[in-house]
Amino acid sequence: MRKVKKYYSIFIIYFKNTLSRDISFRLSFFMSIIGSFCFVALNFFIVYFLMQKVSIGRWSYNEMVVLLGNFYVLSYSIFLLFWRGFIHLIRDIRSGTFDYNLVRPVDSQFLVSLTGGGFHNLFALIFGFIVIYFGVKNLQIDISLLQITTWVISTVLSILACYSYVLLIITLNFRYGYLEEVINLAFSSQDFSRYPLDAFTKLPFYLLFFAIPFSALTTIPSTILIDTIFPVKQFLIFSILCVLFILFVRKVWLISLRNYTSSG
Amino acid sequence: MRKNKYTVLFIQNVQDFLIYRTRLFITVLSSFVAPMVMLWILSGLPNQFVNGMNKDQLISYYLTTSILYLFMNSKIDSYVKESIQQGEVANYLVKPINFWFVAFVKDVSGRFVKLAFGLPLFAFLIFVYSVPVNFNLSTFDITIIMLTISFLLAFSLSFSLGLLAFWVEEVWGLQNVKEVSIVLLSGIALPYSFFPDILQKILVYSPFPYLVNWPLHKGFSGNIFLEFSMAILWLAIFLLSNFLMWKNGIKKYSALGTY
Repeated sequence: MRKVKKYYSIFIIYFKNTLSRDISFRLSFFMSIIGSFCFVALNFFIVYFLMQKVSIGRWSYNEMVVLLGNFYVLSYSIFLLFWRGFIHLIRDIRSGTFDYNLVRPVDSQFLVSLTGGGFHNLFALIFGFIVIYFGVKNLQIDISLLQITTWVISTVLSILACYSYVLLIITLNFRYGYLEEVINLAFSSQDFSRYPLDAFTKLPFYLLFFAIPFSALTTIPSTILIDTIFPVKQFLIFSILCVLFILFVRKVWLISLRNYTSSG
Repeated sequence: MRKNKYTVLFIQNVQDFLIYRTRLFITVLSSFVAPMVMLWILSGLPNQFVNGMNKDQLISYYLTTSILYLFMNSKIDSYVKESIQQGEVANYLVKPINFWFVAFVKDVSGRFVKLAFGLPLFAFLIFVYSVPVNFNLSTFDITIIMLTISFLLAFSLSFSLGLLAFWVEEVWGLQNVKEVSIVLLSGIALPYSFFPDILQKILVYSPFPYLVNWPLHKGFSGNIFLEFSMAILWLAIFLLSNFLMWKNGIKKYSALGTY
C-alpha cells in the first residue's frame, strides 16, 4: 500500500508539472487541441462517408458511432497518458539519457510510461465519451450497472493492452538501435481499431493475428454496451488475453533492459 | 568534373537516409497501413460492386494510392520548422546556398529513397492480389507533367507550413491539419465516389485532389483543362507564399531562433 501511495504521489507531481508546462504557451496549447481534434474529425468523416454508401458487417450507423466513441476513448487515453513519454523514451535510448531512469529508485517502466502526458488530448477524450453517450442514446438502449462495470473494465484493459503493444515495439530500439518511426507504425496500426471484428472477413490469414487483437480492443467494449445479451464468454476471453499480454510485455521490457548500454 | 553543390547535397542526403535502413522500412510500412486497412474492409464486403467500383478496381486503386502517397507526401515542414526553431537556418544565410533549394533537394532525395524502398512492397502486393496495373503509354507524357506539378505542389505547401515557425512556436497542430486534410480530401482514405456530390464539386477548386493521386484519376471532374488550371494556380500561390513568407520571416528571425 505504501508503494502504491509513493507511485501515486510521483504521478501527481509529474502530472502537475506537465500540465503547467503545457498551458504556459497558450497559443501552442490551443493549436495542439486543434491538432488533436483533426484526427477526431478525420475518423468521423471516414466512418460517416463510408456508412452512407455501404454497411459494415451487422453494424448499424449508431452502433458504429458507439464503436467510434470507444476508438476515440482508446486512442486519446493513450495520447493523453503515454504518448509523449514514448517519444522521449526512443530519444533517450538513442542518446543514452535513459540511464537516468535506471538509476532512480522507481520502476523504469513506470517512469518512462506515466510521466509525460499530452493534455491537449483531454478534450478529444471527453468528446469520445460524449460520442458514446449519444450513440447509446440514439440506439434507445437501457444500460445496466453490470454493463457499465464491465465496459469500464474492458476499456481499461483495452487501453493497457494497446499501451503494452506500443511499448513492445518500442523495445525494438534496445535491440536494433534508433527506430524512431516505430511510433508511427504503432499509430497507424490503430486504424484496425476503427472497425468491428466482423469487418475483416476477407483479410489475408497472416494479417488476422494482427487485425483481430486491435479490432477487439474497441469491438468488445462496444458490444458490451450495445448487445441486448451480455457477451459473458467474449468478455472473459478478452480480459484473460489482455492480462496475459500485459504481463508478457512486462517480461519483455525487463529482458530488453539487459540489451541496453549507456551509449544507446 | 566538378559536381554541382546541390548534386553533392542530394548524394549526401541519400547516404544519410540509408544509414537507418530498418527505420526506412518501417516508414514505408506505416504509410501503407491506412490505405490497406480500408482496402481490406471494402474488399471484404459481400457485394461484387462497392459504390460503382468492382473489387479489382478497388484493389488497384488502393495499391497505387499507397505507393503514390509514399512518394507524393512531403514531410519537409518538419525539417523547415526544426531548422528555424533550432537556429540552423543561420548557416544558410552566410553560405552561397539557397535554403529553398536545400529543402527541395532534401525532400526529393527523401521521397526517392522511400519510393525505392516502397516499390518492392508494392510489387509484392500486386503479385499477391494478382491485379492488372494498366499503364496507358499514350498519356505517359501528360502523366509525367501531372506528377511533376503534384510533386512541386506538395513540396511548396509543406514548405509554407514549415515557414510558419517564424511566427508560431508550435506548428504541430497545423501539421496535423495538413496531414488529416490530405488523407481525407486527397482520396487516400476513400475514393471520391464515396463523397457527397457537392463536396466533390467543391474539391475541384481546392489543392487537395492534385496533391497525391491526381495522375491516377485525371479528368475526375470531367474537365481536365479546369484541373490543370487549378493545379497550376495553387502551385503558383504556394510558390509565391514560399517567397513572401521567407522574405518576411527572415527579417523577424534572430540567430538564437525565433524566440
